[in-house]
Amino acid sequence: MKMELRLQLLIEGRLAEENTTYINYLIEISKSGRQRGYLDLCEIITPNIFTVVYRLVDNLEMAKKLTVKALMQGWMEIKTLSSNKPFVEWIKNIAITHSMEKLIEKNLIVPMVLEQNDINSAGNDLESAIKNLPAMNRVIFVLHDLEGYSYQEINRFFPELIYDELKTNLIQTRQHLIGSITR
Amino acid sequence: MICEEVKINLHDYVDELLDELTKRDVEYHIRNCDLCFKEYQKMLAFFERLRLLPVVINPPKEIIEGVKSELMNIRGASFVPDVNVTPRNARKIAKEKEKQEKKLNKERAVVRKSLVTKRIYKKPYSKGPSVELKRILYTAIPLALIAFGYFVYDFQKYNYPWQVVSIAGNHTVNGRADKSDKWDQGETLSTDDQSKAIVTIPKVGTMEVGTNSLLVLDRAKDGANQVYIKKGSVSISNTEDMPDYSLIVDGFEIIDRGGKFELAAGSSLGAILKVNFAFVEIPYNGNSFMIDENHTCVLRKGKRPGTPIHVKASDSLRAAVELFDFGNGGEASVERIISLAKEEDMLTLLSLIPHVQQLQRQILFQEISNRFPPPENVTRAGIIRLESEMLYRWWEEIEWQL
Repeated sequence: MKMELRLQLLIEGRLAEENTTYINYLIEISKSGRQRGYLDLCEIITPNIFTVVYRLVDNLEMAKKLTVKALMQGWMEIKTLSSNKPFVEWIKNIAITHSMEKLIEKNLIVPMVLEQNDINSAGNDLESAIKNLPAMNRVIFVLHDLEGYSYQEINRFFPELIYDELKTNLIQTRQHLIGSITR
Repeated sequence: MICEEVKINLHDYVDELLDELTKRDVEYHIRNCDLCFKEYQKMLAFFERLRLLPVVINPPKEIIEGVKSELMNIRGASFVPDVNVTPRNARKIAKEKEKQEKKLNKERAVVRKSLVTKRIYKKPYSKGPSVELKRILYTAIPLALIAFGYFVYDFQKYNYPWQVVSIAGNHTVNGRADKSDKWDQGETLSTDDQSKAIVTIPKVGTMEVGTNSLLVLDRAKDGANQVYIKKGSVSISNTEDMPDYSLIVDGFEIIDRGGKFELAAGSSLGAILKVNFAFVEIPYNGNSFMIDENHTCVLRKGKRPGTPIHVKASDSLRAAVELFDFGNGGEASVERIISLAKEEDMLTLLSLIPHVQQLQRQILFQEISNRFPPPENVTRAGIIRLESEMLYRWWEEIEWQL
């Protein structure tokens, strides 16, 4: 017992286990101002970031611009990145925030009733069925079920919705999608 | 639980939001209800399909080109646009991309949800009220017996009142001069500038209470004794190897792990803990800070516990550590600490490693290695990566030599 407890004397906070050695190295050299290093970092994480942005906004051009914007904000703020924070999660949060701002700016985040014909074009393709969801349902579904955000975390983006409304929205979306693949 | 409730709860089940009892009810119902089992199978199929969605969608090349061009537009850039990525770098990047994708494939939320949905299996079962009743009785009676037994067992663990004896002047309990020498749970114990007292803590040891102290006996129970220190000083001396005792001061919990230690609270600079023998534990933000013998530690409200400092450490070193811990001293403080550190301060340096950037970790590694070379299987890379096992082995190696 004593040994196990002593072990923790030296460890504080969540360690940056999520960052590999190479990513940590690229972060360090990016912090020192080396843009080449940061570009390499972007190469590595762009598929991950672009995927979530594209699934959120469902618009290729918008997704490209938002991904670049998030990566550039990452460059401007990389010196503030704490050493124990997973880099991908950090950039992803920035990208999701930008995507949400854009969707709100375009008035796309509005509650809509899900209708069966919304998914007619989707056929049996789940990716298309997700794309065809109304923006609000899609965002809540992608953040919760694909990205693993909790209701509380999603609530930051939808402060006007209460917990139960978010949950109801997600359940309706799931049932809608289940319907789309079992028809 | 009726079918409609199960349909709703099934979503919470997948999201792992149900308490144990409701979860079992849902599982039980699904196993025994054909309609709900079909619903469940649909959900199972859905999450399985979701899991098979591409982990990543290939991004258009314009994104990296866009970032490159934006970076080039930044003034004072050190970026050289004509330099191509070397084949070695390209290999590394490709490998890292693969790692990231594998990680996503393994850890993303939908994978977990698809695993959760596979927990329920259909069990042929003949439904009927008698079976339901039997199930309730089989579950409820043993639970009631266990609960009653636990209540009796738990109740006999209360050990108050604790015995208090004045060793100078007169202490007071709950503001009254105490004649009974007893301190009950929920009561305060105070001393003035003339008085001191000794408290006997059952199955723990003794606690000497210094002058001008105010304490509250929050919980007097074997396995969970706890005292709040509002101000003043105490000195703990254990008679048990593994005492169950903790002190609360300025929002910190100080867990007694045997041995002897002193605590002075109420100063504007925070509480000061000094361990004379063995060690104490301070849980903080889900982690534990261990303060070993012959080390002191400052506890300041709202901050993490201070870095442990050896009792023989110079005043200058103490000032530098304080600046690092509480004054945003940053890298300059670490450099100062390194320059002032003597042999007995190596545990202080080792404790700094998790709190500094990678480059400084390397400097600290070298500095400590010069005096206490790392033992077998402890490597520079492992320490820089903050591998807990290696940090501990090295800590042990240094500790016995101090």
